[in-house]
Amino acid sequence: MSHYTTVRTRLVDGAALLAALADLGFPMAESYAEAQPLYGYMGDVRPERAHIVIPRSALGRSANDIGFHFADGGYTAIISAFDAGQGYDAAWLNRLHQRYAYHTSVAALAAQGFRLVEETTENGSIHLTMRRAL
Amino acid sequence: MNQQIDITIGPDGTVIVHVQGVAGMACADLTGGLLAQLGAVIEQQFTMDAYHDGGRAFGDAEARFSYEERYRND
Repeated sequence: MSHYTTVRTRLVDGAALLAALADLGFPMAESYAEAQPLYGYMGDVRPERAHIVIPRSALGRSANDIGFHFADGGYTAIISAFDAGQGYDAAWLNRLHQRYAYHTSVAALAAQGFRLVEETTENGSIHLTMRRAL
Repeated sequence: MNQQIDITIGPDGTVIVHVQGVAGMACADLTGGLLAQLGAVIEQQFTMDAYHDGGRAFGDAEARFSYEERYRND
């Protein structure tokens, strides 16, 4: 038996969140219009519900589902204490935020006519240069 | 003239957006949609960068406007 810890994040766009999860190795994460119950490692239904779910089968033998619940304009990560101890911790959420920011930045600016002209990574930071001609 | 936006995304998800070649409040309009998707603005800084062309410094009216915003997902 393990319990869930709720970590408040500021992820507001579902499509960008799914793209970020795919970057971290979870292209199978599923999105639902209605929040779905999360399942524990023994197949037990948890009281927590989420709109985006990484199924426990993708996480490991003893893992519980990881969820992202949408409310008040943003997603809240729902990660069990067990899974947080398996590497799905604050550092993992930071990496998720970084990939999220990458996808939202490129998509939002491409929609305004900017194109990505350079992308570099240095000391763990991603640097993007986007340009458009007037 | 090109408009350029430089974005640095830190390993902790902190984002710095630097806009060049866009006059005045058009800067804020340009990045408004992006900001809404990234999270809360924690620092915003406007700077007037006078720039040189052929050794001549342009006056304020022609100064190039740039600004930088830092924000973080918490």
